[in-house]
Amino acid sequence: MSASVVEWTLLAFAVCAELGCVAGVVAARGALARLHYAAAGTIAGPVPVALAVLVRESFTQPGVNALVIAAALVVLGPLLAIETARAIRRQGRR
Amino acid sequence: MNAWGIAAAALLVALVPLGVVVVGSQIADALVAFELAGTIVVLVLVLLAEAFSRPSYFVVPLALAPLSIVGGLLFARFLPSRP
Repeated sequence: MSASVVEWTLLAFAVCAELGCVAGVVAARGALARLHYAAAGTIAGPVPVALAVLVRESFTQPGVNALVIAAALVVLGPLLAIETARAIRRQGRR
Repeated sequence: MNAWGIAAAALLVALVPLGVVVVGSQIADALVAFELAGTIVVLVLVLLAEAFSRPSYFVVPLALAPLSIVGGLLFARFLPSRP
């Protein structure tokens, strides 16, 4: 399998995942239900994009930068989701 | 336009419905949509840097990724306790 096919596949997966998360945020009723989709978007999109950059660039500066960006989103995204859920609960909403 | 540019354009289009939610919903729902929009903007900047083959452009999403999370945390911390 050539590298460009892998790139295309990873990019298509990332875009479809993010579009699915957007559709979920738009369609869900209630802030906590929307938060499930938003939290998924911090992992489902950045990881395949970083992998696609790695496939194209290997471990050069762009590849390492993409890895750091994905790591930041994957590590900090759940923290943001937890804090947002607490704030929503303080409001007494579901 | 290569694959990276197409992916960036598709994700840019996805920001429109999130903007509608941010403008038209209650504040907690708007915050959730805003957080996802921040993630998508980071991805768009990564994709554009790769589409233009400019490694120096990666500085922008590199700075925005933690800052958008911290911004969301601040918004969540100071979210009003009543809707």
